[in-house]
Amino acid sequence: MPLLNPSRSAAIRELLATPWLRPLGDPLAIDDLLGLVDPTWSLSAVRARVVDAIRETADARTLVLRPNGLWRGHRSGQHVSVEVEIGGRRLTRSFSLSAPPRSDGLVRITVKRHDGGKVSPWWNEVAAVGDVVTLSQASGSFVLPTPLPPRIVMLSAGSGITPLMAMLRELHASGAFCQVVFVHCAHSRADLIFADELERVARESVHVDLRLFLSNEYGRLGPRRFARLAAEAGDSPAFVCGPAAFMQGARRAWQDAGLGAGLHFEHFGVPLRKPQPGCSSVVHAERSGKTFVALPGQSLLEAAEAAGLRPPHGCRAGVCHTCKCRKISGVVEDLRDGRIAEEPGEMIQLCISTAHSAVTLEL
Amino acid sequence: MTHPASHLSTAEIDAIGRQLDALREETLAQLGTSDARHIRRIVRLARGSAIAGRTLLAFGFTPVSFGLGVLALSAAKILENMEIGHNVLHAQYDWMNDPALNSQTYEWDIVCDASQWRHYHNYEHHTFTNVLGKDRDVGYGIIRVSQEQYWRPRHLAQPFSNLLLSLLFQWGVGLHDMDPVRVLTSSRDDEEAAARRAEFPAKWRQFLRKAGRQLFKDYVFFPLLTPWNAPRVLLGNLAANVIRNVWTNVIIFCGHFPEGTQVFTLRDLDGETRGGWYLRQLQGSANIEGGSWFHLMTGHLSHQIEHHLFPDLPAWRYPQIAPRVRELCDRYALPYNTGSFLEQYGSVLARIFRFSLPAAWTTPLGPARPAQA
Repeated sequence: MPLLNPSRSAAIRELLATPWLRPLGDPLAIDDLLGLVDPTWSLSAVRARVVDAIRETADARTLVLRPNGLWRGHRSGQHVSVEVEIGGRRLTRSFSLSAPPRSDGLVRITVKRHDGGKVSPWWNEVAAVGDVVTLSQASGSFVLPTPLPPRIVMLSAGSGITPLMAMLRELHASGAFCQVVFVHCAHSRADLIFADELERVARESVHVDLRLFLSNEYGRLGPRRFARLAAEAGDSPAFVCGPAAFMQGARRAWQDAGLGAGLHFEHFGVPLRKPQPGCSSVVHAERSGKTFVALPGQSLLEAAEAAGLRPPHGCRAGVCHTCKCRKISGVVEDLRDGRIAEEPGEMIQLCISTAHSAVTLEL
Repeated sequence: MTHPASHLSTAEIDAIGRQLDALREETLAQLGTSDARHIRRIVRLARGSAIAGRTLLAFGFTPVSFGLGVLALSAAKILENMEIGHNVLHAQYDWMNDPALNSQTYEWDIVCDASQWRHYHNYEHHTFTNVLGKDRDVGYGIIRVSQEQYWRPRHLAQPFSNLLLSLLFQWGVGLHDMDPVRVLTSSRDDEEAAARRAEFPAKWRQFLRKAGRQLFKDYVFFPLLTPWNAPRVLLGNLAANVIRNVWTNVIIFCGHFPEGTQVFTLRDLDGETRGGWYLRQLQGSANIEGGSWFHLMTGHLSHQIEHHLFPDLPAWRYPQIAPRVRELCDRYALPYNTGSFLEQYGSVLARIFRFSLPAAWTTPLGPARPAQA
């Protein structure tokens, strides 16, 4: 049977994707049929099965995933888009991989629960061994420099630890001769993801200098401490991942010290600006390359037309769905009933949607 | 003309609109796993039925397996066109974010190109429902189904043209968006016809591409897959297409043409509110009663009234909300046009025969319409 697995065999993939078979069914239909044999089989998508689940803290959990043969591997520090289906809806989120690549192909993703979120509570409470999720290929340039410098500074806060943990694990496992100053902030000892492993690595390795800041014990990492860290880091590359305010603090300290060029950032998916109804919003139309402003309460269709775009449309009242368009990112409100659409990659009707934040459209 | 809703005040019409909006929101909030499970089950049912039908046609030798094969393949095409295709193209399942069920990319097993369908059906028909001169689905430009349409001598033949249309229905649906009759026969100063003429070549190429694919699939590819049975497969596919044509035609005609459904004029659109739009949908549509399998095989168009009120709610939810709509109609003394399949289609046929004659020879049927105030 594994011989027939299209995600392992390019020959079978090509055979099933030949245009001559189109009358039998399109690739999506073939994928669906393959999924009946094994939910990880696919012609084009990286599907990954949950093989283990590890509780890290009360609100963070690692899922160990086995991707199918289409997975092309990753480098420590990179991230993937993860698509899961919850309540019939497919939702996509970007997460860092929290472990370096392994020879058996298993990958780890650690997610901290956000109250009011959809995917992170699922990840923490619902997902079970045997479930299947869909991954993108790994991407991102937040990776260890080659060749390795003699010293690296890693700064993280909260769940921002995950890409840095992948890097630390790789450096520790390889025994590379590279000094790591690993600075991490958490609310408390109980919130500290990977606490035991961090302390074990710090004990075992002479290269790792672990500095934990627990805000309930020693207070926050303020401007003075950031400035001291920047001075200490000197021209060693520094990798930063954490909430927006944390990243801002690091950026300012490094820039003040004239070391901004050595700083590498990994941003969270969390928007920097809170959605604001009643304010004008910047809309970016990706395909046409145009950027325009949508006024408060104005439909995106009207705003696009005012900017000289001519999106297809029909009834202008939400009936016919002719103006349906993929919203790549941003928050919009349905002008008829006030429903909020904030999922990345959602389909929206331009004629009855008004922007609440910066929006990027596939237009 | 006076409509059965003429006793309602503006405030009452607004209240009806608000109640229907609330019903829509309530149902939207319920959408979830069960809807996803339903549509995926039907996709697999249709696919399984197609595989069974095509296998029976390709590998069987007896008339029994031929008959069963045709039935299974017709059922597959009917389910795919009606419960899956029509409803997916209405964006009923876009919220799932599943590329296989996306209104903008779905293509169905019929000669009609999906994007042309979305234009004339989702936009023209669902926005301007039953408005003479705007909704070309009123009689499909061939058949006179109401007193208000002009009579022309060709309507004398409409009992026959109706039969022909039902046998060839997918071709009618496929050509409808281009409006070839109007493009070919209209005068030079007809602006709308000029607009259609301008987009005709592109749409025509699109139509040929889609129709070619469909013809290749059913009449070349599958027959030649099992060459020893090629004539049998070809004939079986033809039969399945015709059965699907007749069934979809009959069900769709029951949606807006039974006795009691209203037509409107452009003047009715002037200043129409959301409540008014809902009212027009209510009065212009008719339901068919039946069991759950019957509803499924009509793609839930047996709930045409609910479909026209909420075209983008998953159709299998219509039976659940129908009692609420009916109760609202009772409360506001509005007609809720429903009946058995035989009653509704019988009434459609009666109108097709009756309106084949000039207006002067016929009087409005039935007491449905109150006297002019």
